[in-house]
Amino acid sequence: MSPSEHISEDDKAEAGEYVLRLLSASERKRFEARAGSDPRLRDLVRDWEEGLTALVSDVAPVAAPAHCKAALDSRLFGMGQQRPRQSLWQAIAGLALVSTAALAMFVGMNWQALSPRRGDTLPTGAPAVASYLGQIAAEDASLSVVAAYDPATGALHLNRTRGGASAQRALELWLIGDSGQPVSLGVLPEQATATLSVPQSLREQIASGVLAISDEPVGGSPTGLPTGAVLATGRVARI
Amino acid sequence: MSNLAEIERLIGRIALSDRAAFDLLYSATSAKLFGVCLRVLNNRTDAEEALQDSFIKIWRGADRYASNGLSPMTWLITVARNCAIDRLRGRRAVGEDLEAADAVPDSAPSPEAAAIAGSERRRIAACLEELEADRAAAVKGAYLSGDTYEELARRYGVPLNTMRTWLRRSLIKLKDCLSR
Repeated sequence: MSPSEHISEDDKAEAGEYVLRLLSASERKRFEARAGSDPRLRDLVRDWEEGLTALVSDVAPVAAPAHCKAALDSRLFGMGQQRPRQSLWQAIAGLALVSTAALAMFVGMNWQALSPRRGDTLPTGAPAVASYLGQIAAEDASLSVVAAYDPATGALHLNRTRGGASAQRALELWLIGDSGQPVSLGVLPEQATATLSVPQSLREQIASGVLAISDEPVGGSPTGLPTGAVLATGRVARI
Repeated sequence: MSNLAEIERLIGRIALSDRAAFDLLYSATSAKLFGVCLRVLNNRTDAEEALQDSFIKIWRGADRYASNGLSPMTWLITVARNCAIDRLRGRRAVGEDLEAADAVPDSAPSPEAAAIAGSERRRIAACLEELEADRAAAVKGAYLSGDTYEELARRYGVPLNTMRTWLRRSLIKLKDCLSR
């Protein structure tokens, strides 16, 4: 007898009701007890979960407010605890193979999450799925900017997800390309999202170069080179 | 799909208490899970709590993830949906009034969402189409809004037992279709 012959219609329905949360508390308990000793019921539950999960593809992602993650960390790891010693950037470096794909997931799934306000979508003109992605992050994770580059237009879409400029200071973005000299791509605006246009001459180097953010006077470096501390670095890579 | 493999790898690292992996997973998936919580709860404050509950379960349950046989996004969504429904039922139990419904965006599937769900999405849609429209809607209502049999019976104006009988019949049909 094949295993499928053991599966009764009742079990199919009840596993579905279980997954849909339609069973009463006592029915639920009874079902769980049965499933505990019957792998076929567990398989049914898994199949139902997998089958029905696709229904959420119609549910739009919505950026959770920043205080939500802070509250989560405090619930899990205790009040006032410092950031983990391993920074986000170190983690990404450590997960070298993971990083680009994880970021692709990050951006691909949740461009809306990058936006400061609910309902906002991409910065104007941003591609639905960017083909170059990266993160410019501080070692201590105090500053983090997600970057998505669209080679078709030369637009570099940025979303500052953590940190910001100090009072009376500005953040300036640099590309350190083939020449080894930082070239300014522009000053980041106060709002979290921005789109900068990468000069034609630098577009070829965007993926091979390093992106860096420095602390500068309001309006940007007066010298054309970084004058303040380099706060964060990162790269974009083709996804 | 490689994205799912990466999510799976992050879950594996979270099982080893890697907080950086936890942060990455949160960045990658919290908007989707928050959308799910909002859809069920229709209230931002409750949805924020449910989202936190979800990630607490994810942090604590990551080491058992591998044994549940679910694909990573299914697991995350299942956790979030269950947390949201727990809050929903808790809210009803204490008789709290529903706050004014937030306009939860109910978008056409985005290309990203389609990429995630892919053939699964087409399959559930096709199988639901084989059901009568109100029964398909009842299944969706239970899944996406956490509707109970009582609420479904009221909505469709049928006795509870009738509701249950026809929904169970629909589930059997649906399961057979999904298994084809």
